[in-house]
Amino acid sequence: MHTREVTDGSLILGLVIVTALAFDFTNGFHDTANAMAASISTGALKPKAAVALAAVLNLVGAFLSVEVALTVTNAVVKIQSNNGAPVTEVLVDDGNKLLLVVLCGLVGGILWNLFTWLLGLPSSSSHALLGGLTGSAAAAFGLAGVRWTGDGTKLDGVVGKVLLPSFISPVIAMIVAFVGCWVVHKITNSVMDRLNERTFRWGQIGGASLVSLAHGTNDAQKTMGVMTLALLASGHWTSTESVPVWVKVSAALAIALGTYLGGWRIIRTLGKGLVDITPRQGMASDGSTAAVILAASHLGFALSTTHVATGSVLGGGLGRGTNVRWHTAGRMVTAWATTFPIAALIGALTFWLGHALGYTAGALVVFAILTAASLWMYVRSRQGHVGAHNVNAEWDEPTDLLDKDAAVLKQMIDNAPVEPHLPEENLTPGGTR
Amino acid sequence: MNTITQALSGGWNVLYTSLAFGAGLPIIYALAMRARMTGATVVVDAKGKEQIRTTLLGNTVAALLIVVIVAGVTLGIALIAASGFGKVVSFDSAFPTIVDK
Repeated sequence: MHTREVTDGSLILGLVIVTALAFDFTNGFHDTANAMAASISTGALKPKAAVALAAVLNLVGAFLSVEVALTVTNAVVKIQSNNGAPVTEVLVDDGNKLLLVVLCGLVGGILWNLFTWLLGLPSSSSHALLGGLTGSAAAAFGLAGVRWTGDGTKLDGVVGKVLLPSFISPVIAMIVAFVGCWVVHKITNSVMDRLNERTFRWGQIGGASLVSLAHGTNDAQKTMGVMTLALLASGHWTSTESVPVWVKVSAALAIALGTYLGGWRIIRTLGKGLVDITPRQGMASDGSTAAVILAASHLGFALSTTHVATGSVLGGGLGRGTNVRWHTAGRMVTAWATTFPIAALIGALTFWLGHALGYTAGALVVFAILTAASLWMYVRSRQGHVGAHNVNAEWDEPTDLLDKDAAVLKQMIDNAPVEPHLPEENLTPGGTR
Repeated sequence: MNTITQALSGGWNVLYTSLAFGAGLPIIYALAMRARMTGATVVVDAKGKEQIRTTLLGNTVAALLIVVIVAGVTLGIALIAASGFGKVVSFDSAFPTIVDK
């Protein structure tokens, strides 16, 4: 390992590391819903217990992995060689250009993650990260640096690893959950007079636990890979066979902490906003999510946990003929479709700005923008606060959380009865509502 | 076009594998519960509370089915752990085994 004095490069590197951990943290709380929304919604687990279980399993999952995932960006851009080392063409200006690319890519991912969280929409954290990195890399090295498709031997590139799987994976999950749910009901309907619905919560908790474990293994590795790429770019790390221990520990802790914080707004939308599910449906949904993620990972098919979890909840709802709030589903699909391009746009814009200001000043300004925008979204989120206490409140709000007047929203999600504002004629004795 | 064909073929493989496990295991769980409740009777205990009395046969069948589920979940954990250690679970032999990638 090189030792260097504190230089401009070290400052940018420090900002990249902090930003990468911040992304990992948002990745944790953004994705808690994928594993736990159904279990929380059916009451299989108490909200706090669910996020604690998910956090512990994410932590275990992150440490379970000893394989080095350095080539995370190779899915969409051509800035790393097959072993994970940055290619020489991108190592210009002492590696500062690549550091700025990574920083701006992460900023694109974080801002989109926070914005969709503010709207309470589950969107793919992986697509946000890959989108941000694609945008910033394209801004820095031109569109030729983007890997659109694979070389024909396997699925790769933006089309093969992002675009097509986002159409295919929710449909697969929906079919699996639908079949599971439908058959489970056929089998058990005749004995439900003797059987408590809650018996099925064990199946649900098992599925949710597998999803959390797999999430820790897959997603924490992405941040570890990006952090190590930055260290390689700045010359602070040279091995492509291993990642520094502190990178591993910090990334594992960041994703676990984020998961424990719980993205309650998203948990609420996924658990209550789409369909009101029962433990039997929840078991089918979580079984489907776990199986699709593990099967895809085993078969080398890249997909987003978020898309799978949403498809499964929908399939579980349809399998029993439960009313689906298609308006909410439509908003989710819009968020999925826009995740990659908007994160890419933010990545590109922040790179151009940072590059124009010079690497050090640019990185500081980009970091300041990230901090300011994140704080603004956090403050905005407090106006209609969703937490463990009200995550399961009745869903009577089909539109955007933010469309509602803050005071009315607060009353609504605190489950306090809102004073009905009725026209006078309806208040006369004997009047009907 | 090739990419689309590859994606559909990959998606198809994922679909039938996850149907076997993702729908299969919940269905086996449902069968276990059905087996346990088949022939079960509702009795009222001394305190006047209703209790379910299951049969030995029902419980045995349910336990066997639960063993199948535990095996399936163990396979899931093995898949996650193996990928973390740079290995894969091979289905080439009679029993799934962990081999180098």
